[in-house]
Amino acid sequence: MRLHVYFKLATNAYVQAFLAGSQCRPSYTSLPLWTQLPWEKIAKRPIDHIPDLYLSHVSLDHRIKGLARLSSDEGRSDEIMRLISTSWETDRQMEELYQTLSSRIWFSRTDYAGRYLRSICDIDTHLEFCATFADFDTAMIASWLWALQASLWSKMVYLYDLLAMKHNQDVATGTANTLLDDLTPNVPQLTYQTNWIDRVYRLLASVPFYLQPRYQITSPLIIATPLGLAYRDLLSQPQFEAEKQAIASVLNVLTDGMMAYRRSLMANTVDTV
Amino acid sequence: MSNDINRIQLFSSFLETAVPKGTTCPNCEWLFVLHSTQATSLALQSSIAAMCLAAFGKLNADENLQHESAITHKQALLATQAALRNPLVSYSDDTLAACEALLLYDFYAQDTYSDGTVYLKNLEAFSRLVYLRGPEQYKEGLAHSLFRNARLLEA
Repeated sequence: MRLHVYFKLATNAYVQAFLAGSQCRPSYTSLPLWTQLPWEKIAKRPIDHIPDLYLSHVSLDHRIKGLARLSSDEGRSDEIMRLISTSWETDRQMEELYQTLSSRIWFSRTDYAGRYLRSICDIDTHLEFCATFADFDTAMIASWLWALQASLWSKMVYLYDLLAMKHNQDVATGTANTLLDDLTPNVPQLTYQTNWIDRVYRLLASVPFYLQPRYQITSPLIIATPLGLAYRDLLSQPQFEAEKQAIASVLNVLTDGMMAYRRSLMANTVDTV
Repeated sequence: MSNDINRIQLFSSFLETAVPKGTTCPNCEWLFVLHSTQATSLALQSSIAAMCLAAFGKLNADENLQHESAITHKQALLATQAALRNPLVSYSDDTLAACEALLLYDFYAQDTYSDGTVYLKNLEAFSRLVYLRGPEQYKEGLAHSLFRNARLLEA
């Protein structure tokens, strides 16, 4: 399922059911031949790392789904440890890319983004900050990274939960011969990753930036993709129903509603970011 | 000749209106690269025209332009299908660019209540074409910028 088509699908009940059952699938573009050969003559730009990170994430997602198919407990525990290790490596790569942009991203403590979103669509989410960017490319990379971080971190939380559950089972059945800390000596503890929903808020707080008239009518195509990724992840998180609905509403507005809104914006000279 | 000039002006206006300025983002860069090269095939010329007309029709809520874009789109589809069937040009950069322009047409011309089926099928065909050309075909020029965008579309 291609994420950027979510912009036209998000509010349809049938499609929501379809999305719930959809799977990320590894693509040929993740093969080394396809990630390296086209860049033999031209160096990758920062934005070109986003598809690479996305593909790593898809592969991770695929392996997590495969955990249920592993028959032995031991094999499962080993695979969980390997997945955790891969997650940290992907997290490091994302952070490295994010650090190259961080001086070009600003957060204002204002409810402007929340008010703005509430003025264009029916959402119940209150944002306490607004994100602005030095330029369009920075915005695009940051939005993608926030969506990918939210997704990756929620999966890391899930993997650590699995690990703890396995340990508790072993303790209960008397088969544990070591403490969890001993079992996972090289696994760092999760810290800020547990608050992965913050990255979804950042993503929502960046939407007004894309809706500036100067970014014209192509920007919805660009922001819709990371929003689609966040939306899909929230499908399995019932505690964040309001956030999921907020994204669905924004995605809807990004289509025809946005065009109408922009025309009224131009006519009434409403303030922009 | 005057048709050529009209097409070039239409494309220039589209870039001026529809694309964020000064960006290197893959979704947009290929359009600037395309603009700086001469589109010679009928498939590419008509696909660009359909995409531009659909964008203007949408932005201005102009039914005449939307109608015009739908007519141009039919011509573009036929020309692109013919190009894809012709082994001499099926793997050319022009044909790939025509497919990508037709995808953008779908984006601009989308119906609010569309289920996205047509778009998804066209995207599938586009992805297959990218794959069949092979990775060595995307090292520079228009092909490289088309591939950068294709990777994002694959997401």
